Amino acid sequence: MTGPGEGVQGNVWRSWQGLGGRRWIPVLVLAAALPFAIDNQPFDVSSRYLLIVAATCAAFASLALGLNVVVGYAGLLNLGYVAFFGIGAYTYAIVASVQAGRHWPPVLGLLLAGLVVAVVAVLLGLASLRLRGDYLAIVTLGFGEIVRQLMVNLDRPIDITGGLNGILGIDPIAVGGLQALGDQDYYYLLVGFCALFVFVMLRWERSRVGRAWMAIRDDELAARCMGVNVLGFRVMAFTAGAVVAGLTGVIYYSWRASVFPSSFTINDTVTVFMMVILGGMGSIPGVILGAIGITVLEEVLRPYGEYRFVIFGIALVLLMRFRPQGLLGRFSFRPRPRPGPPAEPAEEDVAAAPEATA
Amino acid sequence: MTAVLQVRGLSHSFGALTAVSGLDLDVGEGEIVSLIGPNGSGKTTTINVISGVYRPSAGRVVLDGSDLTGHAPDVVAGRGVMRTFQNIRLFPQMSVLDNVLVGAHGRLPVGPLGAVLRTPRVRRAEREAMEEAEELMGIFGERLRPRRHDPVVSLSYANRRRTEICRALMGHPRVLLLDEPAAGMNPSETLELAGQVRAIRGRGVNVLLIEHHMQMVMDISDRVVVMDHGLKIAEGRPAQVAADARVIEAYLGRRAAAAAE
Repeated sequence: MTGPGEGVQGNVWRSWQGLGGRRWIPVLVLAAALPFAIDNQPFDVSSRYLLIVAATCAAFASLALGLNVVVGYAGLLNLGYVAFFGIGAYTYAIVASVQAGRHWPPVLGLLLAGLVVAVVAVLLGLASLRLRGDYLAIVTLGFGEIVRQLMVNLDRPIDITGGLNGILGIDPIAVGGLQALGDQDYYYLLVGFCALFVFVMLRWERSRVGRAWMAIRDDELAARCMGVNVLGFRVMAFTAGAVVAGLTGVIYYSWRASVFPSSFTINDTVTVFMMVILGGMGSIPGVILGAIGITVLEEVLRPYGEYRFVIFGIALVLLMRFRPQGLLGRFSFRPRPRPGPPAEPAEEDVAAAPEATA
Repeated sequence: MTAVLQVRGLSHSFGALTAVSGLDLDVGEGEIVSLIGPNGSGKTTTINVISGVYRPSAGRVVLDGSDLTGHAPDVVAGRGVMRTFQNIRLFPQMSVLDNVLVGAHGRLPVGPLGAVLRTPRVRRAEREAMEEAEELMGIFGERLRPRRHDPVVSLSYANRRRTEICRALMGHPRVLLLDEPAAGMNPSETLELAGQVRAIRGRGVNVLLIEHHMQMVMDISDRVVVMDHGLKIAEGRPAQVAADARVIEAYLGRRAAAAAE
């Protein structure tokens, strides 16, 4: 196991780790200051464009954090992940746009979207999470496609989703009289939600809940024998990830003001997977870095159109070859590595003083 | 005195192969009971059935008067039967300490919301679990403690077995099922382990032990149950069992048994 904790930089890394949750404070300060830096940037691009990219990074970082709970912690291959992003967006759009002529208070719409996503995730989870590995992947893949087909086809007989034309004129997020209007408002909103998710993840990671998820991922039978209700905790992880995606969908698409079925294909799920795998499964800074990296790379490679996926492919292959745990990850993508022969030497030389026992 | 763990008429078969047949087994209060027998005699299957991994085809498993038969492993663990595995099943990508803490899963009052809010109750429960994990690792002196934050894959086989024992003890079991804990340990480590298993019994944990190291079995067992081809062929104090002709025959063959008489 080669981790970032070894070598000369080891001490610096360890003291950074030792800061615990506090090491997120400088990150948060930088994120808050970014719009000012963008306003005064010397490059030959529009500041508005840079701000949009930054806000998109925050949105995808949230998505990647949600998927990280499902794949990185609990080890569940959910190939229908963006469907929850879509369900959140559509739920909000239906109750807060010209589509149905309803304009619920945005906070209420946000809560409803979270609730709908949670209910769908629990139902799908209870039905499918008895399955493992490849089987779960197939079921969730099918689920994602069903959701997209519903978005496309639920414009008849009653027009619910607007079909291929999607839903336009989605209300902006507002709390009381405060409305989020400009890109900068949404940048802060998306970063704020992302920070909230990081906080929640950090708390889960170091608690009974996170340990149970990782135990299930590493060895399901052993986890069961230690008292872990495997189905319950799987549904919990699956739902937690879905709700994160759903809430992010609400914020992101209230910013874009329109939503279309074409945004929720398997390709989009794969993109989020790529962020999580590249960045490092199970590592919160890793998946955020992965999300930022892929989003920026997509923008940089935009002139090359679909060819950019070739570059992503090559990047993934190289990464799997040379750093299977991702840039900052602690866990490799292989579902259950067999513990190899011990690296620790035989024990006679270890000064052990076991308690004398009667 | 009724036994803490009562196994009655337990049978389990894999297709046409009967692995365990009509087994009766008791583990009493304060007892270390050893289950021995040649390879393939049904010892591990017995532990798998008791811990709920397999559903028995017949028979009952009763703990402190309540029926455990056919319950899922997590339910069995919650009722107070924890185990280790012959082929070591730690969580390979987690640290030693986190592995041990998973053992406390069933009794920590920490849900997803509580974990996020870190209420004083959650804080206290997690801290106490951490302290107890440290204390339990102390059973093995300084073998595990300096490695608490290391990934378990970096441990020696002996330390992996010790980690498994700590993990099982974290669940406050009434009965601890140890499946070949000394496998892969050298003679001096095995000797240490014998004392440590006694110390575990001293904590009020009743032990059912599967082991091939006869010296250890003879030293620490209060009673020994011998299985062969899925059947119980002998039971008694270690010395009684060691002298039993059927036991010698099962282990060494008929001629050796005749020679011993």
